[in-house]
Amino acid sequence: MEFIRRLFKAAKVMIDQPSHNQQTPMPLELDHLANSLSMNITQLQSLFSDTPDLVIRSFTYKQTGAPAALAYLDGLVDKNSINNNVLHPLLFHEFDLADHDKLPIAIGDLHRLLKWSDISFALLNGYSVLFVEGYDYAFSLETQGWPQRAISDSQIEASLKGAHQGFIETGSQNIALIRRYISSQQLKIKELYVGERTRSKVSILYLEDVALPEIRLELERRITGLRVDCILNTGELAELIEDNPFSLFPQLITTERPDTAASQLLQGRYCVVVDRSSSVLIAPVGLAAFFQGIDDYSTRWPVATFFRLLRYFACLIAAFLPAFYIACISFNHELIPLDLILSIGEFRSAVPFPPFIEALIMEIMLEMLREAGVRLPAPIGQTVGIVGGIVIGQAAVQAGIVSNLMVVVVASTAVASFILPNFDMAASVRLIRFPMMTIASMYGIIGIMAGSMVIIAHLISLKSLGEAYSSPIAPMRITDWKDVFIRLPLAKMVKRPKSVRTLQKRRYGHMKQKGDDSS
Amino acid sequence: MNPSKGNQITLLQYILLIHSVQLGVGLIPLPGDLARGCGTDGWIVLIIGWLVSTICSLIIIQIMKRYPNGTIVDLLSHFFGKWVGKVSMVVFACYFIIFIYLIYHRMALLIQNWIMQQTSNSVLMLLFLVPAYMITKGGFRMIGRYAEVLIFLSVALPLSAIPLFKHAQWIHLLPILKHGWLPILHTVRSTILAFVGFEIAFFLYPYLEKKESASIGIIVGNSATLFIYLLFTVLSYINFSPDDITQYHNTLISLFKIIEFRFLERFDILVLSLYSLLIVRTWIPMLYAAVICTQQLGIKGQPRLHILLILTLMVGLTWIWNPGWNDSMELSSFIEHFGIGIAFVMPPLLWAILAVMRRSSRRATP
Repeated sequence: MEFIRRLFKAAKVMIDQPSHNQQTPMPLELDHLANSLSMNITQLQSLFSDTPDLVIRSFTYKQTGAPAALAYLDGLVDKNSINNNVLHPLLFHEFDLADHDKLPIAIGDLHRLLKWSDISFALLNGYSVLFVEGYDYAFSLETQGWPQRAISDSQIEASLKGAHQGFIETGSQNIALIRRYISSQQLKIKELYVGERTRSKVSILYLEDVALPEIRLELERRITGLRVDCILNTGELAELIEDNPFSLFPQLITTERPDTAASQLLQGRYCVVVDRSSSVLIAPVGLAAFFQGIDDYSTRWPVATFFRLLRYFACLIAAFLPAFYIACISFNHELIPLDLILSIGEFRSAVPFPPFIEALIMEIMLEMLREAGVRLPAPIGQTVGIVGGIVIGQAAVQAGIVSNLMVVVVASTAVASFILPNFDMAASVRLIRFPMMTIASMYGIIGIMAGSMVIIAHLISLKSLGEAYSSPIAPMRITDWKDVFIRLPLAKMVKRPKSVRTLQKRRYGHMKQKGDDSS
Repeated sequence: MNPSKGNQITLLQYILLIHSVQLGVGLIPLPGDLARGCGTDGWIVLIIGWLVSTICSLIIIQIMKRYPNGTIVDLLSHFFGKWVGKVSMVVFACYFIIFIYLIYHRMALLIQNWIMQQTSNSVLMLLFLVPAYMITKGGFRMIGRYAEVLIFLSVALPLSAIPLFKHAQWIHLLPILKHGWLPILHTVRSTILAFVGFEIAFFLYPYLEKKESASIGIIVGNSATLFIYLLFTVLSYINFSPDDITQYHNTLISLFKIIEFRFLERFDILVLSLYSLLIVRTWIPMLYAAVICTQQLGIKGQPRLHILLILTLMVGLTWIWNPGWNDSMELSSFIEHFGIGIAFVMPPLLWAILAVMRRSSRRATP
């Protein structure tokens, strides 16, 4: 017990007081800019020593004749914008400006910076900084233009009928993608910074008149309390702020699809966009949300219902079928009818391994093939499939390593685990298989029952941002079942799900058609 | 002890908890016991038992209304002083712990008998220790959620019995009252134990969110139990002949043994292993109630530690003593009087005492 408590304490160390995100603190008198340009340039060069990609362009500001310098980090800026909108007007044009503080720069976002810490932050984030002789502040110009990919369809969350836009690695672009779906003033954004070494911008998006403020406060508390070096990916953030890091199951959804994010926002959940990561975080979610695909809402509802039931069934198959096979073959063969068990025995007579080892070999083989298919480049990945088909197939049976029923079982579990729409959940379900197989090999079908009880107990005690994880099922909220195991017609979903506690219960509009008196 | 906001249960969870404490091991030998007592008139016994238990449940709710923010032991301490409270804690804790042991061990016996003859009882009990501990440490709310998850199973059980109507011999039920009323009344006394379990309401009541629905809830819970009991009792009567049925000890499992599919030989094994989840559901609420008592007695340690300790001791006891079917039967006949006392005799008495006290206190302050 003590050991486990210590483990938990170690896990809690990361979350303590909110940090002030101070990079290398400097003495106060050094942190402010000087009046003279040359001193500022020297200071800048000493700050960015051994930084060959720092470009400092000195020139004369034509309007006043004062010497000036423009600094930026090569590669993080848009050269066109700097040449045409910054340097060109400063070098060649004269304007009759009454106020000399107004700069003739055609750039949207222009700030004054007074401190070196702000300047280095601006430079590192792709702003260019303009120093002018005689000013004890600098201007930051929004000339960001780092390499980023075009917006394309998401690779891991393919959809047939949804949008073909996936998130990219730039936070502002991702927010824009979500805004395209929800063009409402109520979509609010709360910006936070995470990371001691490199500050990642983390934006919490929510609908102000729908989402519950308590959940946002909890989310903010967890994010601001993080003391980490840096966050590279949304998955890292998810793991750092989730309720139970020791659980097998993902407690927050990460998605690459803007339409999924928008649909979750409209249900009253929160969406966390992490800059530099191509997926966003959805919180708080329940177990059922992992089985809902965005396509469900754009296909006919009976079809969507069928597929959704198929997913739940597949989840059970993927987790329990190999275990059930082991239990039936090695323990409870009285379950199987006589003629069937005779034929199985005939096939198994050549197999030297006990059922558990046999199943383990095949399952691990399958996982290796799957992983190899993911890692390899696409042209070679095809080959893996073919090789796998041969290995987990007739050849293995003929070689007498496994029985052909085992091949059927493994193939079914593989297919079943691939149809889950959420990658994290599919991986968790695949992982549950192994403990279940182990306990089934020791205690047969009763072992499976005990194991599934442990899983149920774990699921009902899990929380997602303090909300019940198993929500529409336990605690049972029948009204939410319109969208859990089945999907009723959209016109019936007038209210937002109860399991996401929202301020506004009803969605806008009554969705009634003319002559349709259902409510 | 005031139940915190974080451990309240919804009405549905309350209904399910009461229903699940009643429905468990008792159902398995029930049809056979009824038939041994009074032939195929057993269903009348069930209805009488349901009436009696519903009345007693309503009395329990009336008692708890007098002190809505505490369990029965708090109520007794409040009205009769600290020592009565302490004694009641000990009595309740002992009652629940013996009851839990009976069910827990009976479950292991059943599994050993029907599925795993080679495995010792204590190992089978150990298998269910971990999940039971995981659920119980979350309090009534977690136990309620567990019961909600198992709703699917509770619905599937009657549905799986549908094939049993295929070869039904309804003639077995006739004539009604073939032996008169006396055997029926005798059987009521011996099978009333099947309905024991609603006394968990003594401990559930303070946790309930909507206290005004407590009476409705407990009636619904009792009726659900009655429905399942009636269904399987009648099914046993129409599938087995009246003389045959007295030969079976675990009637329910034998009943499911009748069902066979082309792809599944022993359906009863599958049903029993699924039913074991429902059996666990019967004793974990009692376990938490027992822990409430031991906590208030002032025994050191967190509630989770108490849970773990009780369960471990039970497994250890089984390992050392290794009781068989006969010991289990003896234990159940011992607990029968205890259970009837706590569930059927105590509530009316307590209610009467409280009413008298109330009246005298009113007279004292005109």
